[in-house]
Amino acid sequence: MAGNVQRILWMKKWTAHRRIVVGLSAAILGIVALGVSAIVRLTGIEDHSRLIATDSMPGLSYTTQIELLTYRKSLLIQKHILANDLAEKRSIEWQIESITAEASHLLAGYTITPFGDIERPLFNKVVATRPPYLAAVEKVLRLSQETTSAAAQVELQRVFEPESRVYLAALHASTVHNLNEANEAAREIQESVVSAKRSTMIEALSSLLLALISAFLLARVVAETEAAGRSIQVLNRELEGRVGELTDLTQELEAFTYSVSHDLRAPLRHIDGFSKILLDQSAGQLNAAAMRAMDRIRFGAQQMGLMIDDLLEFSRLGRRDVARRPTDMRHLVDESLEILKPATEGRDIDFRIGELPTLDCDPALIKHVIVNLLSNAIKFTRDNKPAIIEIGQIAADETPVVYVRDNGVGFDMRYVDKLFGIFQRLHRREDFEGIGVGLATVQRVIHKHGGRVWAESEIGKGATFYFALKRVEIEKIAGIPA
Amino acid sequence: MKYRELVVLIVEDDPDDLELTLHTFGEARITNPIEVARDGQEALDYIFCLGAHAGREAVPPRLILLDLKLPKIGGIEVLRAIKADPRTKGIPVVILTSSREERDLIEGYQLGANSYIQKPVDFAQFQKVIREMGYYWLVVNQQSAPVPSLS
Repeated sequence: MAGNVQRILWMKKWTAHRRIVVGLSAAILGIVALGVSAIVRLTGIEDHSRLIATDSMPGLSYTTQIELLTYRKSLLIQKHILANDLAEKRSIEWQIESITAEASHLLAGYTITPFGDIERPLFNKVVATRPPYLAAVEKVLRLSQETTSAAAQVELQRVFEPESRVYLAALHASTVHNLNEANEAAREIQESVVSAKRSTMIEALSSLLLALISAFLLARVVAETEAAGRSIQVLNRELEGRVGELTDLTQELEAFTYSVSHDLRAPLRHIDGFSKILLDQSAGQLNAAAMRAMDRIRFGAQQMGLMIDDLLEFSRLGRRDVARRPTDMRHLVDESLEILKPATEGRDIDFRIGELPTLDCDPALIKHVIVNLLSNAIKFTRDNKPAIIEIGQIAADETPVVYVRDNGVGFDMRYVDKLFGIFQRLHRREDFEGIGVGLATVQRVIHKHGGRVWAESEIGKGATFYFALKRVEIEKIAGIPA
Repeated sequence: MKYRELVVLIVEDDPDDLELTLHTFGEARITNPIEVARDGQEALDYIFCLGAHAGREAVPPRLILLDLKLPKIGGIEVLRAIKADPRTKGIPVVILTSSREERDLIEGYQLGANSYIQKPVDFAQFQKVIREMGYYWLVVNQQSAPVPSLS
């Protein structure tokens, strides 16, 4: 078990590059070894075939020996005919007998020699021409023993020659034929061995080439993959660095917001506190203008206090984690209207609540969005009688878009970019109260959900605010009711 | 056992805040003697009769108003020390601070703070809150069994 694990670890330590190089090297070595062994074996066959051609043709060897013996015998017989005394003739006869015995011995063995189908008839012809030859030899020898006269010797040689020539020709033909056959067979074997060697070499070389090309291509692919992997790692590290920087920045910013809002509130409290003490204690001595100035001082301080509180609230919402659960928007709208009841008192408002989706969202955060959008709609329809505030949904490719529309004062679309910025106002403070945190909060919450918020308006014709909890493309949303 | 006017300890580093608080105490006719500690260290010295207060009569304060953002030792640390000691953990501690951070609020209550009041910017509201707080903790609320002596 442990060994297994270790082996796997050992394999894993190898880079892909190294593994490919090792694998391909093994393949190349295998190809080379196979090629070499094939060529060695073929060379063996070639040598063997050469041996067959020269030494191992029994038919060739056989007929050649008989041919030589017969030739020598014919020469001896001629010598016998031409010999001038009987003693010399006797000596030659003895040599002839010895050669005849040797030839007979060879011929007796022919049945067990491995003649092929082609050689056999030829050899049979040799055997057939042998008796007349032998008879002629007998006759010539007998006559030669009895005569020594020159005329008789010429006559004898004339009688003997045709028989011996026929036999020798048959023997020679058989020998030449066998020699040709053997050479032909050997050449054929050699040729096929040479061609086998060549094709083996070509195959081995092309396998080698293919292996090298594959190795080259694989090495390139691996190099590219590794380079891509490295650049991904580099990018990841950079990204991690950036995320770290961002986290640090965010934490710094939060710490800053926290301490600023604390430290700013203290002097405001002092301005308001001492102003009130001054007002309380010197009420009788101050004229109307001074009293009004004191009032404005206190109003300013309190207004700034509210701004700081809103800023803190905004920052707190930004830091909160989004705890999603399926949430009925209709329910959130009802709760929001309950919260906004004091703002609607004495107003003539026609709330038109259409069909609303159930969204996967953080209900507490999205309630802030709805309250802010409805509160804006209530605020900016202050002079409409009746005010019409509509809440509904559009389905944009399965991502529901919720909208809040009013028939209020609206805004100039030229400044739509400023709409969601913090402390940005598109109306004068005297006309509409507020410090410009509401829509910034809305945008922050929607962005925390990974969604999008946008608005449409025309001055005097009301405004419509849309939000979706996914990145929808505004241009693609069809069927926005006019 | 002898009844006596028990001290209200105000832990506050900002002199303006202190003046406004004292002014409001005066207006609200809170008559308890008032001791002031200007940082966390002074507060602990007073409460546990240490340092400059080593010789004082060892009677614990009736109420502590505690700011959180203090020099040297922070308000949360002072609160932890008070509530960790059996001799002092019965003293009501009201956190009176600028902070409305949830983490301060939660930590304050977890450590056993008796109230948490954020100082409003509007002074009229501040006066109201201090009046109500003083009335509740010094008049309405029944003190637990006589506080054990610190000595």
